Amino acid sequence: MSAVLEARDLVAGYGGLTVLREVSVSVDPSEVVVVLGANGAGKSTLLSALSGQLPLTGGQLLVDGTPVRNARPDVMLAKGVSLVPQGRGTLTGLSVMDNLRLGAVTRKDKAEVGTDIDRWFTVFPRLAERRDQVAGTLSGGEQQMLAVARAMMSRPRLLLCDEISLGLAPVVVQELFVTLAEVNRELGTALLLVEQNAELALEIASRVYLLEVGEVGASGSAESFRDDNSIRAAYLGY
Amino acid sequence: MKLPVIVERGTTPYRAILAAVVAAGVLAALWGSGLEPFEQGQVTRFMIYAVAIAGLNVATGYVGLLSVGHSAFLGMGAFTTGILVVHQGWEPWATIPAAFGVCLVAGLLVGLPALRIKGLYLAMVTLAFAVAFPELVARFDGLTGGSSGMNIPRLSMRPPEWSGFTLGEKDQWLYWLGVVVLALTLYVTHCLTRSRYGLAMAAVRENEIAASSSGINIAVVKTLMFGLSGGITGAAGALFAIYMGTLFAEGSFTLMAGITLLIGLVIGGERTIFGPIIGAACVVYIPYYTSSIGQGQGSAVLFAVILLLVIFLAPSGIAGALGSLVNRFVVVRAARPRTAPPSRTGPAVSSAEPERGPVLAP
Repeated sequence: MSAVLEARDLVAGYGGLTVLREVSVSVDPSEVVVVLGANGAGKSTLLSALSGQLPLTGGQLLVDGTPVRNARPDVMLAKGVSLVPQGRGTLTGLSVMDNLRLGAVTRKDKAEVGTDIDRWFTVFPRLAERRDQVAGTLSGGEQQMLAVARAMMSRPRLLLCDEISLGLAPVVVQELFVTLAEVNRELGTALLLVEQNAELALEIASRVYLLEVGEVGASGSAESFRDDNSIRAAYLGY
Repeated sequence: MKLPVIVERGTTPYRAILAAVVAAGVLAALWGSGLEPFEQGQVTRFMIYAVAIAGLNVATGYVGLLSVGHSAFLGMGAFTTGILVVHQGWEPWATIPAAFGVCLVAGLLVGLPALRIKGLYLAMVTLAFAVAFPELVARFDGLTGGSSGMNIPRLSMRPPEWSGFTLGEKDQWLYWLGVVVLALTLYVTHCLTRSRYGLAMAAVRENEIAASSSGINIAVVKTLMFGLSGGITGAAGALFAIYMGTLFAEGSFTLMAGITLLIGLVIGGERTIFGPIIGAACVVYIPYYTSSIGQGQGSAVLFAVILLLVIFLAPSGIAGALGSLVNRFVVVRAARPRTAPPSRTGPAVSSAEPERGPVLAP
């Protein structure tokens, strides 16, 4: 079985600045992969490139083994790759309900969309309580839940999460990771997590990529990373 | 009874409210048809502005593409009508769709820069468009009459026979034409903003990354909506041509006119259906009354003071302020989603490939 998403020798950056230098990563169906790395290693740039937000200057994206030409965000979403952007990808001026409807804006199966909204309200009961509230009035954790639920409303096969733990209380982060692990187990949605919170991410991940200034420095199973003290000290700093 | 009362869309109370609003509109239209000619002319002018501002509301209000150059669409629509009536012998009312079409295409073209630039920079592009328009009209003076203006002969403004109006009842005919175009405009914007496109427009305005990662093609939404916006304002321009009879680009369609439309939108209330109506009433009637109080400069200052007051007291426009007042008593909101029958003992959320709409994600 070919990977849901594979990146071959990605080169991308901003203007004249090249951030990613021939990065290759892949995510298999229903797999949980985590990308670790220090600030400025290019983690967010990698997710921007994978989700079509950032045009590639080199390399190739393949979905199910087929090269994607013209990788725009809407194209990647239609192929089943959905992004939770960094810093809460919610529309703060719209209600919780409308945010969820936005996640399904390309879908035409209205009744099923309603079912999905109800089910995400079951997964995140706090969102259900605030369904008519404007998203900007939610707490940081609730907004991040909403961002995840919004991204899941398109029923993706792969969810890309950009530093989902950023700026959240540890207990909230813990909850979010438990939910993500459940989503992966129950729906079979593959996850690609970009994280600085290495410890938590390693708990649910099966494979790891270590990004070092725009290149893949190391990769391997999550277990080997958890157990290898030298790698931990060198790359993760704990 | 507990306030606010919540009314869901699609229920009987909602339909009752809608019917009451429509009935009030019909009554107002009938009342206007019985007015004295001069007063009726003012109402017609007001309706033309309401259509123009409703057009601007699509781009600037809903999608957040700031335009100060909608005067050019107003002018382009007006001259489309002028040229078709004078040079091609079209019936005036038939030029309204043509003006809409011409300005739709122009709007799509002007909307292209909006893909790359936003905010004040986009406003500068539309400003250039507004400044260039009267010059363009002067350049093609063979067609447009140039700086001496374009005169549409009164005889060619005869209402069509099927309408039942005679040449002497031209103003009455134009009044009803205005009512129909305004009603159509409000209906279309109402439906548009309640649809998936409305959601897409809001998303593009608020957070482009969230919008695009939800599968919205931002380029398509921006250009299409700028085009539609220009088209609607162009249709208002066609009415304006029939209303004025004489077209001076340097008098009626300058940057000042574009700013007036923007002022109307801000006072009335962006992103509301009634905002353009209230805003149009303000920009048509306030200067009219202030000019009867003060003279020249004085009346302009008075108008400016009223403007500032509105902006301080109602930052979201008069319609916005009225809306939040009404919301204390009645809240209208989307119906709860219709739920499909629960699937068998499957996962919490189905992961089957959903059916996708073609237009938002081509």
